[in-house]
Amino acid sequence: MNQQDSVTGSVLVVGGGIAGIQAALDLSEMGFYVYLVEKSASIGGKMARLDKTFPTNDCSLCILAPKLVEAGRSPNIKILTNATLESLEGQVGNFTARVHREPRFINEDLCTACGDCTMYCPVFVSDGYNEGLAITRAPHKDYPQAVPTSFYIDAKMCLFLNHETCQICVPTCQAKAIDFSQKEERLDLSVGAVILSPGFGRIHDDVLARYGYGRFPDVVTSLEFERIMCASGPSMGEVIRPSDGKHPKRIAFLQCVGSRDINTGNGYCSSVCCMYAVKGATIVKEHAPDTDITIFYMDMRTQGKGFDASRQRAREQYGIKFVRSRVGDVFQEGEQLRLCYADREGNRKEEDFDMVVLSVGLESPEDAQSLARTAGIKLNQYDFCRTQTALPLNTTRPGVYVAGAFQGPKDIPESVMQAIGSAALAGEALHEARGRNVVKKEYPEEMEVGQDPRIGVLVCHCGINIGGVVNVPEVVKYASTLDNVVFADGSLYACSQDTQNIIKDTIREHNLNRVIVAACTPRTHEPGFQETLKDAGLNGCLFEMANIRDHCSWVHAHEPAEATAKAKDLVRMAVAKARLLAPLPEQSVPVTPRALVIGGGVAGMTAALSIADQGFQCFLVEKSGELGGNLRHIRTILTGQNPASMLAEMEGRVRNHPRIKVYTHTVVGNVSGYIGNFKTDLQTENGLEQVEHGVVILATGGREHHVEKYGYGQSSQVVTQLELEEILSDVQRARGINEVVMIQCAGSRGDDLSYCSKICCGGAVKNALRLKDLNPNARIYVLYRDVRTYGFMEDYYRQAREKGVIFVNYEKENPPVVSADGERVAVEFTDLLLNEKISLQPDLVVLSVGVVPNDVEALAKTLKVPLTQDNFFLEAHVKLRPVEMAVSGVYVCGLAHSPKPIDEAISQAKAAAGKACIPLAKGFVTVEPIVSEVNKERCIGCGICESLCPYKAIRLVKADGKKKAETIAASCKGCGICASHCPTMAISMGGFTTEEIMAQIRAFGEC
Amino acid sequence: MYEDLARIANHCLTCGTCSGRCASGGLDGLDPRKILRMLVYGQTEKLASSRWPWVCTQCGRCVVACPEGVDLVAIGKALKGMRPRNKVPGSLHKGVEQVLKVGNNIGAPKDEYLMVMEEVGEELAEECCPGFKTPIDVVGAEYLFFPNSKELSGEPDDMKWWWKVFYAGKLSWTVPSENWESVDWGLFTGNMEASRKIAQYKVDNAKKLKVKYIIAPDCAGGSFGFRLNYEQYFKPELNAQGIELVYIYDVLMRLFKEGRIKVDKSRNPELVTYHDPCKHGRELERASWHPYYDEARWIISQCCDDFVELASNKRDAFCCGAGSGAWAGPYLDAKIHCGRLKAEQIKKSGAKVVVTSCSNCRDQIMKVLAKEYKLDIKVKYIWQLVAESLVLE
Repeated sequence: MNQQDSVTGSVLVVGGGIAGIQAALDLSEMGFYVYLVEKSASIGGKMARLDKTFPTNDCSLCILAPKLVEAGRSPNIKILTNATLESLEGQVGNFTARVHREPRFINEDLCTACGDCTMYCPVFVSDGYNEGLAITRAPHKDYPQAVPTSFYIDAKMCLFLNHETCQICVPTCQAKAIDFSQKEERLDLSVGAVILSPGFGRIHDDVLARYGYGRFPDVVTSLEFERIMCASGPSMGEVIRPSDGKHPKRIAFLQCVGSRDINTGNGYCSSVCCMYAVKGATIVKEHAPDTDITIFYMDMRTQGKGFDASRQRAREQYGIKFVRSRVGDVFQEGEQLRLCYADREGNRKEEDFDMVVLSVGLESPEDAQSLARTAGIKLNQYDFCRTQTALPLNTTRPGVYVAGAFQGPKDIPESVMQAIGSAALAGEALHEARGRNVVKKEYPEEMEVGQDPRIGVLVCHCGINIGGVVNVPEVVKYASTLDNVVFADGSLYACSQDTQNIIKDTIREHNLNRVIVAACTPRTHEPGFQETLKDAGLNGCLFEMANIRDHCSWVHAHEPAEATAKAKDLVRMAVAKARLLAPLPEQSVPVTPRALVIGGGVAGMTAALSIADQGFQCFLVEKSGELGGNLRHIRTILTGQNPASMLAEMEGRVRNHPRIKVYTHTVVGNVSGYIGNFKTDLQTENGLEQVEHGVVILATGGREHHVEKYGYGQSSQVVTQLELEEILSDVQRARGINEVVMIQCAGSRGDDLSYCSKICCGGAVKNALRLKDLNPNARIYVLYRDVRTYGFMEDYYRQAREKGVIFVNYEKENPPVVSADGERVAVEFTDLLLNEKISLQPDLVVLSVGVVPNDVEALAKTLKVPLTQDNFFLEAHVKLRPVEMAVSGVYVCGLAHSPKPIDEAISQAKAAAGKACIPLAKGFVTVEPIVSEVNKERCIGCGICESLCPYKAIRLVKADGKKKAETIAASCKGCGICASHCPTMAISMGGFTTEEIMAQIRAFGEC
Repeated sequence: MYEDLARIANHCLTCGTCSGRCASGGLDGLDPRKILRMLVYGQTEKLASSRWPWVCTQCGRCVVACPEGVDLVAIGKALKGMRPRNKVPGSLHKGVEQVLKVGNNIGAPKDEYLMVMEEVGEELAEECCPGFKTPIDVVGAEYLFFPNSKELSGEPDDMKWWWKVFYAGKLSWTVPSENWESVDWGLFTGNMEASRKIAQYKVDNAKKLKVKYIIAPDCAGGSFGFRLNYEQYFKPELNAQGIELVYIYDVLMRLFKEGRIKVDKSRNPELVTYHDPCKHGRELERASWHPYYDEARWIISQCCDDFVELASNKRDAFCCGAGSGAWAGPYLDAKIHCGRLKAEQIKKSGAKVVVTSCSNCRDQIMKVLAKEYKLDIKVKYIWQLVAESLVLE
């Protein structure tokens, strides 16, 4: 056996939250077998417990559920629940992981999730999924959509397991799934790499108790509040107080509970709480506009992409109040909660609220230390996983990677990025073993579909999400009266995994050849249902969805009768269309196994290296003469690493990598083609060159914003942070600098730029610390609006204060005044806390000017990818697809996506590389059959369709001497613009033929 | 010194927790956060010459909640120390001079002191404790007790509660004949040198009288000043001689637990609450020493059934408004202002009896808060509550 063969093509993922699930899904797509180890009884983690997700306020579980189902049914992901890692021997390529698994006491294969056991069990237990706000019984499932779908028995509470009595559940189970003979097991798994994604832990009760939690029932944690807001929560989405069930009229959010507080042991910032408070407050306002909401905060840290806009909306559109003060006391006063806090002038204020939400921070997981010992990795001082700026996803043990909040507090998109990135790292380490351990998914042969439509209709209640408004039984009854409908049911959560099995059984039992699900949106859920049909031997295109959630229960929440009537209309229309549905073949297009990376900065180089290390050729194109981008101008890094050596090492590897071809002084011209088959013109120093590649990574970067204010350009004493960095590299000169005033947000956050540039606060702290190192007596003032040293960066903010750097808050409406008069520069500002005017004549005024993207309009146009209003590339889904663009085969990372520090750019670059390698690894892409198709006989070759297609998916070809339009299936997104504009109606859309749509419209008028 | 203060203040995040929790804030337009801010800008002298350090009661309520652990109490103490001694407000520094010269704050001569002590003892014997004689300089006594000069000069009868309890419990105890002052105005004036000397007197007495236990002297500030010096300078030396420091709670609990005293709960039918003296609780906890929260409540529960907690208690208790020497200081307006939140909580609790275990707290609540805020309450020492409940056999 040679060395290569011994590398194992399996990966262990520890922790089944969103990060672990994402890593598992991507690894399985990349060609690796995954063991997904989860210590609780179901995967989904914290995201499954959230109501909505910021900043788009998508329903959290709605966007997570398809991933749960996908992970649950993948033949290449083995989910091990109630399981923990017990030991990890060996080394990268060849680990043996011992996993300890506690029994569920309910056989996963036999359980039908009917719920009878729960109904009969006499033991009430606190419902952990609902944060203890509801009760369940010892045998249960965490939530309806939970994966695995089977129930389990809470071993701590079960009477039989603790007192050997009862066993009442055993005879109630028709499926005979309850099995008290199950024993704990130990599994020895051979894996080549390990990804740790155990998530985060809970802030201790004694910290919460300081704010009355535990004593006053209407003081709740933010996680409890998520459940209270959630349609599937204990109050079914009605925002009510735990004490008396009344609607709170005044709600306060208290930020930094268990964060930025050395008394709690957590000196860091939890990064996500400001945004989730803004989200929660906004949602409450949407439900009950007359609610009065105040958020008490220290610094509003809404530094992510689009976050500041959310905060601004919260204040301006929803009237949410923001008070910069940490609440000192919480008292119960009659039915109300009295908060005592200092206003800006320092006066002690008392204000009464009906409910207080504690914005609890993210702590390291409770078992972090034991996990670290077991996995042989080191932790940082806060018991999070120790990583480095240049290697944000590597633990201290080779072959063991980290993703998600265990690496440091972070939100869902960042966790998802890290998950994909860590999967890419595993892919780099194990690329020789790709495909070695996976099972290829086989579908049963497609059934012949006869002329006679036999339609099954499944109406989903989605808890009260739909069922609370739409009368589901009535819709079911109605559906069953429609012609060709031979089956209708309304008792299930359509998207849960066990329902998929029921659908398969139903298809066989009733010999169905069309299936309609009346539920939520096909945007997130259609692919999953189509997969179910395929599993049952039906062509995926024999499926139709009626969106009775978004279009009925959500928009007509207060008109149940009308919503129900509309749901019936939608079902009738879907049935009319379904009668005409025809099976369509799935097309497959080969992929050129090469990547094009545009931009040679840190992000671009990282992405190129990862792709090359995963075994694929890569073109790295840089418009300037050198690689390195902004890193070339950075002299120091906050965490202490040397940027020059980081750059040198990276550049060396890029230049010498046999699979990377570097083009400097090269500009990307026209890009044609589609995923798997791009052709790109490169304008090199030596002329035009065309390269062929399967994927594109956009790493085009950004640069310092140019300001014309605060005397910049008028006085040499007014410089940017980057220029200061240059000055500080001259130690002699730096030692002569005695007084500096730094002005944050110079140009950002609603000035020239609407957004927060995320890196400037850390940058100012870094340069301030550097100057203090060189000249400890230097007086440094940092004038800020919010200090956004999120995550562990907070430690450096603390260090800067300790060393005497003075931070002074200013308001946007009243910025500091700089007068630059030749050699002398003067700054005037007000200390708002003392209400004192301060005038200084510093040696330097340093502007934190923010980041703008490089000019990419032409590139965006040729690739037909969208930009945000600020000219950053707009990802396909801000939450769950943070590196993919809407155009298949195009990915984004680094500053081209949004301003971010180096470690985040590296994580994202790894993620982009990970996603890009999926089609490269597969060697083909399958194309959804809903593409357009041109009837060549009817086509008159006018070219209207070609000119209108936003995806370059139609071209004109000569056939028999005549011009005819032709669809490039792999590029087509099925948008239908061509079909709707074709003057001869020569174009029809798969799954949306004119006949089908006309039938639907006719059915609308039929009732 | 100035730089040290700025260094402590530099940690401040300006979150305002301190000012939101402070009962002194608002006086003279100042509050804890402003103090820190002024220090950051180097306005130390302006602060040292302001009234703030003397009206801030250094209760530590701000510090326990500060997310950066900024020690505003240490700052206050240091600012007090910066004041020229002849500018120390009121009689505080004169008291320090007296205690250093004659061993007590009021400058009472030894014969006068002994006369009062003996007379009070005789009265007590007549009233209810047959055979009682004030134990002065009893070598080999188990406990050493220091009288508070305030009681000696103004309220000598108040000493009887203690003595009655000791008598009932057949405790072996003594008071010293010299250098007997219990309180520590060195601590209150930021004069830690004096504080150490005052502690030295107590240590010398303990050694001379060969006692086993020093009862941490009243007021709570006195106990805290002694504790600081005890821990820093004297502990090993005393412990080597078998001498330990105990708190009044330890003594009372011992008497109860060993069945040496009996009480009649029916004498205390009214609703009782407890005021936690900062320096018997929070400040001990802050110094990582055991805080006497639960002990106080246990002792009260032996004497009455009807007890209510104040809204803020234990670690979060509000100061009476006159801590750290403010009681002895000249600023009545400040005492009224700083005690308002305590008064409000007492009123809301509905308690008719406020028990506490510090003479400063007791006087402030009884003589200032009850009057200014029209509180219909009785204020009692915890040992008074025990003494009044005693069933003497």
